[in-house]
Amino acid sequence: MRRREFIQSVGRTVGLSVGPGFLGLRPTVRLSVSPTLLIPMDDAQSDHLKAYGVAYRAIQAGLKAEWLLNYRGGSFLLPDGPALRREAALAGVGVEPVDDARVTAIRGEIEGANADAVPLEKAPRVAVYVPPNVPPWDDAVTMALQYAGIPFSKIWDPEVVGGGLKDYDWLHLHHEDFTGQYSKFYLIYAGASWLAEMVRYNQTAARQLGFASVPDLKKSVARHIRDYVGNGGFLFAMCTATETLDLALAAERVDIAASYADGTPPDPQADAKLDWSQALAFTGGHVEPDPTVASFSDIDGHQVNAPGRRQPLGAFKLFNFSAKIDPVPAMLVQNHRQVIPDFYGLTTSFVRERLKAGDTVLGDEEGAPWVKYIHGDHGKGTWTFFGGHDPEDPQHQIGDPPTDLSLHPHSPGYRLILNNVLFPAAKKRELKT
Amino acid sequence: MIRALTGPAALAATRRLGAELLLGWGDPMRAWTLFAPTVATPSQDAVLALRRFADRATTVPGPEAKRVRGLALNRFADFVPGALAVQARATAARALLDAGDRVGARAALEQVAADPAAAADAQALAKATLVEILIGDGLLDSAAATLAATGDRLSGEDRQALRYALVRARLARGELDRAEQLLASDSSVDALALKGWVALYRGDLKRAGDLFREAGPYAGERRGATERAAMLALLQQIGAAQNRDLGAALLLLARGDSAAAVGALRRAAGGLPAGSGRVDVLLVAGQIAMALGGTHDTTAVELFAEIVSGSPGGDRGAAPPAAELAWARLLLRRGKAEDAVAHLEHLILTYPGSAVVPEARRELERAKGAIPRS
Repeated sequence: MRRREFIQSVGRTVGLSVGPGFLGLRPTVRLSVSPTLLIPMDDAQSDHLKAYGVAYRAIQAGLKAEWLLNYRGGSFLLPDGPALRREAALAGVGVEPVDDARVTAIRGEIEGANADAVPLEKAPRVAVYVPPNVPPWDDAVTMALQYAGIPFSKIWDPEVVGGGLKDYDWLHLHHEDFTGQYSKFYLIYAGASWLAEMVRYNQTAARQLGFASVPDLKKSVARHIRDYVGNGGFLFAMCTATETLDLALAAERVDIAASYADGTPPDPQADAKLDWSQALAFTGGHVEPDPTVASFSDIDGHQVNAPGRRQPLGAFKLFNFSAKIDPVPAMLVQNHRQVIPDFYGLTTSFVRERLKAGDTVLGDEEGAPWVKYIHGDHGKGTWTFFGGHDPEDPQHQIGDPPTDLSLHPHSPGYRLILNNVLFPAAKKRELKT
Repeated sequence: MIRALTGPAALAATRRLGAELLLGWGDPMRAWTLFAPTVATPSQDAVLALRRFADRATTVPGPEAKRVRGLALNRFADFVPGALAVQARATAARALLDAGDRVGARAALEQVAADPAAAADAQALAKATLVEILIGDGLLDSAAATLAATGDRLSGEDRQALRYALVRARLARGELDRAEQLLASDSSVDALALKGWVALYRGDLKRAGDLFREAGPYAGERRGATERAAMLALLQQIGAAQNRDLGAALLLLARGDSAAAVGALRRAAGGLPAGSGRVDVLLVAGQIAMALGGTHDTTAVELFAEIVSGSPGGDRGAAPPAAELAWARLLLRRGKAEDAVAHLEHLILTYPGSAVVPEARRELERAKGAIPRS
């Protein structure tokens, strides 16, 4: 579903929809007629992350679900049936059968509180931008999707440059370096086999796609991604992908890449020549010129790999939005925890001074000069940036063992990722004003 | 560089330097081969070199480094007098034992134990370690004799620990009477636990259960307590006071004859009435067959299938879900992920209250590739 449809959809009552049976179930004519299952998302839930998968697959099968924003941690209401119960039992997801009277009572509670019920209509087609040689356990979103059982496709530069993004509703970027400098590990990890492979893959892709250098290729990819958002796509980026995507867009006409990446030194006047009007989220950033420092600019607040600038980890707090007035940011912060321990990434956070005026801050560290989680519109689409690499691996070092999410089924950080996956499924009601 | 330091014309000091380099580079045996001829005869110089080599070996990881440390200390002990020699030989024995060289360790310890010049505590320590080695080598009579000869030189606690180790070794040989003799008047919780195993292998299930309960969770190490708890759970399912077939089958298992134990447990289960621990005994047999692997997998599958199909309603105790989980794991081991998934799903849905459901979910996630293999 493109954002245009998302915006133009009208009405809260969902009409008759005859989709494929969800493992033998038939969609109901109206939402929440008996029997109904509530998937609680507060502390009563036995597996928060898999609950998103159950909801996603129900929508995918054509069932009409509702996301109860700010009600018991952002619960889901689904038509009851043996197939859904089976799904939930297998996944270890806690469900509560609710009768008509209880549903009415829940709706009453929602009406009188800062809460809302958002219909979930269509399971978004999910793409994860990932190089072909990257192991599946090196990306928090891939791990979350696999654990929750949400299907996705992997795409990379050839698909993006070839116009393949139009086939997807939702795109995720993780720790790709869109400045084309191999995360600035080129000199620091010189000789490491994984780095050599990364360089080889990228150089081959650039050559095959007709670009003079990897930075040129990545700039083009960044523009395709921006256009995808402009045309109504949903973009969710984490870690370095956030900062470097905007740097690549702002540096469309200036060389900011180290000479090892494109054969020429960066423009000494690069900072002055950056065109931030081309970027999605940030403005006024200063590029880190040292090729031996694995930092890209002063957009990142924590500077994990910059000696002398590295900041300690704290905790970030999610904002409490009005579910009825601001349903989109409200969806993105649904959680059973409001304060979440911070976690490093090559880009961990975003300095407040570098945010564009229209950005919506979803989560920040109170009193700190940085924020953690931001959202905004571009054209007909939206983007959401979440700093850090892996919410359950705060220090994340290269070569660390992969995170096993079955040991973190209640991870509030991972919930934020899955909020983003489900949010394009939501049907926005018509605003009365 | 090594060639230059170790050539035929190299001086002893140069060869020692080459040996130390090899040691530091993780090639201890080659280092010792080069080093040993340079310290073949006693001298002040050789003593110092041996001490230095042994100390350096402590910084190198791995069993080979431990072995060369033991060899160096043994040679050092040959060259130094009195208490220093005893101390070095005892340390050498420990290093050799850690390196898996039981013969070398035993030889060193026997020297210490027989050395009249050795201090009493050094002798006691050497004898205790020697008893351990003799038990490990299956020389139980020698171990018993050595233990008896230690007199009062061992602390009561050390003596008791060695006696229990000897009992366990007797049990593993099926020598129930001799094991019982060693425990005769001992009423400690450890002894009660061991007596429980003796009773169990004799088929006296009631006495075994009583003794295990009396021993409680504190006897021996944690693993032993877990084994006793598992056995108590099995005995409770069976309920009978006596069952010589089951005792004999479990004794086969204790003696390490797992293949024969599978058949014996199956026969013992066949003699039990339905609902009296039959499936639980079959489960033990199935788990052993699965652990054996290879051709025994077929037997394991037969047993698991019998347990699972015998309880279609899902209300027959803990054995059916545990059997289905084991079955799924066996299938996963054989690369049949799809079949394993079907069993895991059946388990989770049929026995939602089973204690093995969380484990089954993890296996299911692994089988589907939803979590990394760890």
